[in-house]
Amino acid sequence: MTALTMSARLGNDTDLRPVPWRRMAWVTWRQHRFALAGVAGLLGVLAAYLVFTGLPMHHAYAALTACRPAGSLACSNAIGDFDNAHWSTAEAIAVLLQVVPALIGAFAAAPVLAQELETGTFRYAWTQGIGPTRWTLAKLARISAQEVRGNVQVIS
Amino acid sequence: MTNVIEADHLGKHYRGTWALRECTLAIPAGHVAALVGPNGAGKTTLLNLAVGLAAPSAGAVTVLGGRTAGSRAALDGIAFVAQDTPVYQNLSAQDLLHLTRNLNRHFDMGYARGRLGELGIPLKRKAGKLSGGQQAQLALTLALGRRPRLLVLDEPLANLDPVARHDFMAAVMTAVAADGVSVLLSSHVLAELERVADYLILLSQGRVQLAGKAGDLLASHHMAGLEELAMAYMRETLEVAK
Repeated sequence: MTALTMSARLGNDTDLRPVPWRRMAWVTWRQHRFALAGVAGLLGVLAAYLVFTGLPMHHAYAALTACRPAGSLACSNAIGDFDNAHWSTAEAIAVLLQVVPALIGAFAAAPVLAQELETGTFRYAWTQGIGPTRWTLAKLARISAQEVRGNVQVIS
Repeated sequence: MTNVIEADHLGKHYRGTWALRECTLAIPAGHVAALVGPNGAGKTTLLNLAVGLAAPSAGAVTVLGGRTAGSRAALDGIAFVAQDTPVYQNLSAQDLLHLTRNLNRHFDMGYARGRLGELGIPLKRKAGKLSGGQQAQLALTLALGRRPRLLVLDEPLANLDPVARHDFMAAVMTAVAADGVSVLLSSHVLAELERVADYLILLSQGRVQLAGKAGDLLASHHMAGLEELAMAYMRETLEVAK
């Protein structure tokens, strides 16, 4: 056995600082990198789709608002065409944006905690020095941050 | 001398039954304390209460000289190795060391790596690919690397073969000798504890039947060994229950 000298013996509790949040972020990333990367990938695809459909839509709308005189038959027809072309797509996207976060929550975020309980690793995780409350908060914060970042990316 | 664990009329109620009740204990520091009793006696419940994984239904429990069980100050000085030594199966030994360092204020990386090296556990291998004995040693290394004052082990030997049992207890005793860490371990395998334990707590039917220094208990009961003593008590309490 190597020399087990106790140089850094636990002594004074007052000079102990809490475990930094950024270290916990590493932990979450290391454990859930595939899920987090998957969510990022999914949201990336969604963002690409929105850009792909949004640009022509934006273009057509700009043309529509530029239509003069506004009340003319030609302009009404143009509005009708615009609705026919884009209404169903816009509706589908509106539904998608409501459903996707819930699906991510159910399939990516929920297992994060459920897995700990199922495999019994919570007995390891919740007895570390960081404490169970901080551990859970940090973990959820990291995963939420990833989701929010992805969603912001989609919206903008 | 402080007490590593102090329980005062501690009780835990699960779905209509008391898993542990009226438990009053004071385990002094500097011992290897064995918590023994038949299955369902409340051993795991008591340990879970001590490390803060469960909250008491009655009474109170403090650790390391008066710190509330489960508080950050308490967890800072306690390392717990749960039954079946759970570690993240999909992470490598190396990652688990980093993980544990990142979850604690203290982690002695040099010591932990050195220990795994001596045990011949490859750092790059995933925990799930290690043998049962190696996983137990890995979990113990993660616990000892935190340099705890109290090491709590729940049935650490239950799923190990005889060689792995011997090696595991040898590792624990080395840490005791070198660091002066106090140990509380539960087991229903009494034979392994005979040589190492110098303090005994006997639980049965959710109650403490017997607690004290091994030497004192043996002398006052005129018994030669802890196993014999514990066995006699367990038989007696089971008879009474019938």
